Amino acid sequence: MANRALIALAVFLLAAAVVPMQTSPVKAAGEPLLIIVGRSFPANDIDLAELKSAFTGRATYRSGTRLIPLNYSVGSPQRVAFDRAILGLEPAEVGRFWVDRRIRDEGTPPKVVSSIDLAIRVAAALPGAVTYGTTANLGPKVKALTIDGLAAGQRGYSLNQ
Amino acid sequence: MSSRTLLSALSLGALLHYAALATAQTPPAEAAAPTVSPAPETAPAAEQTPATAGAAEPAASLEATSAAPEPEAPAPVVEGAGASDEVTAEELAELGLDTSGTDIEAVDTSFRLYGFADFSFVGSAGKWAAAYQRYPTFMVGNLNLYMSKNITDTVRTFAEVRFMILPHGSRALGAGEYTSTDAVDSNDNNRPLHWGAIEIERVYLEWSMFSWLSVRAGRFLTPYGIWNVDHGSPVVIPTMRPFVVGMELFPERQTGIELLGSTYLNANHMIGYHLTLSNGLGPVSEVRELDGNKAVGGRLYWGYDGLGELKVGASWFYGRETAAHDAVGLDAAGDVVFDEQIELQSDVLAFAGDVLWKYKGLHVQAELITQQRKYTDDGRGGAVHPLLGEYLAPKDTVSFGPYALIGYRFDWLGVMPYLWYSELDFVEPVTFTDLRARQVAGGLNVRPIDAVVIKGEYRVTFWPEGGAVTDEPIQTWGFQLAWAF
Repeated sequence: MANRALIALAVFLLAAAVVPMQTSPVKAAGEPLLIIVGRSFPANDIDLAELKSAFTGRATYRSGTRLIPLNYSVGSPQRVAFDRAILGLEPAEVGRFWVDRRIRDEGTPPKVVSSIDLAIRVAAALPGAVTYGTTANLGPKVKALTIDGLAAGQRGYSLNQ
Repeated sequence: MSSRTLLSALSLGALLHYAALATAQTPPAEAAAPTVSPAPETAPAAEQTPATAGAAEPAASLEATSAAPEPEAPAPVVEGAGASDEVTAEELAELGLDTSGTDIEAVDTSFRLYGFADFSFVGSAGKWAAAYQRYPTFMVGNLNLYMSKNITDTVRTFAEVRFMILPHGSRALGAGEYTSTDAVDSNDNNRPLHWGAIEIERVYLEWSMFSWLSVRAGRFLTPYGIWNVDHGSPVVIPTMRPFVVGMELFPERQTGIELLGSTYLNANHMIGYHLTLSNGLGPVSEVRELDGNKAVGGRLYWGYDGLGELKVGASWFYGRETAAHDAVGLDAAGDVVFDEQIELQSDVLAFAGDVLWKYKGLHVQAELITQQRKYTDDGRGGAVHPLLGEYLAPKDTVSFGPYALIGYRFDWLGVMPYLWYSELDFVEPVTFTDLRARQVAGGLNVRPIDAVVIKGEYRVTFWPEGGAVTDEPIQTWGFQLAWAF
């Protein structure tokens, strides 16, 4: 009986310790996200399935080029919107998802870059690098891909928000 | 007793509080993925140059993109720091991308070290307490270290090694002396120490030729069902495996070759497969084949993302298990011969089916596992049982059973109450008695931060048609703290 009470106490202490760690969900912006690659990327369209595959850590090829997904920090508005739309993951699920995949050896998470600017510059320079952003992030050395033949804003485009 | 336990509990709480606060600083799952700081003196070109970014005319920019000319040959530009719109070699290096060759290689070749560990407090009640755990006890169960490295963009190596206290402290169920690994430590004034062992759980070289075809060579987890691949304590929801998984009707691991791959049929449907060729079962199958038959197996699965995450799979395995030794002698001509002495030999055929469904917080998983074992004429070795005093020989068996687990994870603290139920019909391996085991368990899986899991569980195992030793149910409970790092 005493043991049970002590165990309950330990569990209570653990619970109390972690209450402040909860993060509040982040609202995503309303502008459609674009899939952005370098100008040299050998296609102008990508399948939603390929995006899912690449951003869940699977080896994924498009027109013979291996995709190198570039992600943003968990909690950033773009990341929240992308994870919801492409992977079906809420912010609270993302960390668990990757911990579990790593333990199973089912893939490693995409590279996390600290800024959209860096992601765009890497995408411009590195064949196969793929990231996401908005029209404000487009430049002369990168381009936006259509998804399953649909451009941003069109009905059915996967990253309309 | 009470005060010691109280101190232990409070110390545990304080330690975990401190560890959890420290861990909460970064998302642990992605902490291993390199993050980079913005390069100094590098202006964000796309954001700070509206004319080039096309921010003022987003529609026009999109149209231009859609009508982009055919791609040019890949010609990455890497310039030194100071080029405002180019990525620098240093930035790529910080991302772990190897740029040492003539071309930029799209691969992170850094060596990665990570893993998981767990710590438990377990006990049991009733007559079985003496057999399992007479007194509640703390224990460290797993310290598994993962090592991985991409050698090229298609070849990688991976290993999982478990560090154990064992064999120190082990004993046969319910009886016998505890194994001691006492050794004198000459490095510490000849004081005694207890050494532990390691278990190579997985080690392989993997070549990914296509999205749908990779080859692994080495030692790997048998790709069947859900539990055996999840296997790590932070991932597995309960504290302990059901009998039907723990009995290893499929081998837990195999040494050989595995083909695997998966592909999306469309945005929502995915199919995948595993095929294995290995030494299969056997007392030393990790390093030695004791019969001429290689084991074959495989798994097919289908995944659907349309309503949460649904995965359905089927697995199979066929192999011969042999226990044998060689006797050296002379033949009639006086030449040395190595004579194979078979002790036990049986053919094993196993099938399994599994289903996993996650929808919002709901988690449902179930597996049905079966095994048929048929002994060969030469391999049905028997012996006089030391307690029963009668000659017993193994008999052909059919073992099977399902388990089902249901849980719901709330957003609050990642709390998941869960229940699971399991059945197993099998032949008890010492007295060869047909047994039916049923298990019911309920518990709480709390995942307050992604990499830390706290579990508490109570289990009852009962024997609807009588037990081998006693009909009394086995009541066990356990608390576990598991963490990934």
